[in-house]
Amino acid sequence: MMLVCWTFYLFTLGFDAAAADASAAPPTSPASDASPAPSFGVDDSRLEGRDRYHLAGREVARGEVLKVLAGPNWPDVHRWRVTVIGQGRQVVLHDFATHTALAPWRDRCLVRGYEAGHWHLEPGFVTNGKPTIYVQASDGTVLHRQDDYEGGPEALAAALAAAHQTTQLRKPRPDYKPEADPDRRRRLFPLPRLPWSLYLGGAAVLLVLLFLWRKA
Amino acid sequence: MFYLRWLLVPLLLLCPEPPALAPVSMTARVAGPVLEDGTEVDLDLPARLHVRNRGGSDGAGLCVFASMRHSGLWADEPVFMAMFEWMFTRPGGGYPEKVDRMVQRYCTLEGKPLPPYVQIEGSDLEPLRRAVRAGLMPGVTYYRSPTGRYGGRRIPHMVNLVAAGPKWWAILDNNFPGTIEWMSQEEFLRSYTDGSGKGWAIIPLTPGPPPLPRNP
Repeated sequence: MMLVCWTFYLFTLGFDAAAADASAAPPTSPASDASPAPSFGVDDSRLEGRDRYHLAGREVARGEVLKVLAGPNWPDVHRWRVTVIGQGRQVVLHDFATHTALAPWRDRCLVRGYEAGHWHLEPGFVTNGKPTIYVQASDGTVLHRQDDYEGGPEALAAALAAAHQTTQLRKPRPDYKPEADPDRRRRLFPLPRLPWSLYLGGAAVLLVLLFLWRKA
Repeated sequence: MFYLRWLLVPLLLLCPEPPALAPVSMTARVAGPVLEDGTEVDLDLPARLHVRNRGGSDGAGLCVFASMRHSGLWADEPVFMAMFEWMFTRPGGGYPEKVDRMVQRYCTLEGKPLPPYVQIEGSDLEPLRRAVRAGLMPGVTYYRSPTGRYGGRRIPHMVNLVAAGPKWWAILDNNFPGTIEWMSQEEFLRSYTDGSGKGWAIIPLTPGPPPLPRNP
């Protein structure tokens, strides 16, 4: 009796919740735990309840999965995104995969090709060229953009190198001059660290000399 | 329905205890891709691309394959995108070995290469956090709704993880397309594993869309 009452009460609550949700009700109406669970599609009797990691169907160690999720050489989160849009993109993708000029950038960049109008490009990407190529840092900053591929892989590699120069965190500066870069917090005429009596004696001598010079 | 509920109140008062239900969280909530505090989902699959779960040929749910479709759409990965519809005429329900088998069979029949993906089981959240940070959209088990969906009852189900931040985690439920359910990490862990370590996730390794372009 108790179970029937609670079941019906919860059913009425679920009815109201479903009505309030603007989206839609789930396929099965809610009920109490006493009734069989609705089959949304996970067969949990097949899950062992212990940590297991599978990559391409074979069981692997946790570390291997974490490494794969971080990217093979460059973590995906730090890789540049090269987005090639529109007609002629297959040539660019092929060059990126095979041409020696672009070999140094292969691991560093994550390259994808799209037809114009793909939802991945909404909003913000503009397609004017055949193809249009965007090179972006992981935060989305556009490092380079070109609307044609007339220069071929060599020109694209040069553009990537130029973008790399501007984004390097540690830039080599062999012509750096420390004297041209003073610590501006220091005083203009710094005094050496001497005992105060020496400064006092020096000041006295200066006063005597000044007095004698005026007298003469 | 409203009056019927009040008729039940005297009977409920006589009942000594309510049935065991998961407590409804005070923080978890259903919203859109942006919360009122400004937190945004990490993986914003447009609502127009959300699919609704349905049954396979035997009536059992296809939530695993609906989640794979979301992951596939996010990554523009053709095999994961197509599996949901392909399963309409096949028995529903899913578990890790079945997913491997079905993906293999689909690729063989359609002549497509096997997509790279990882499956994990247990209660380890670090791979999920890393996956979301890398822009990959995992399908994850979901046993209880922290916001009280499904009447708070246990439901073996698979949804998509779309945010894994320090404060908020969020899921896209294929029974409630168009909405996002936000929760704390602890609430997600409870929902993901049901407290029994029976968590299961499918993580495609094909990267998602490029970041939105921004000026340097």
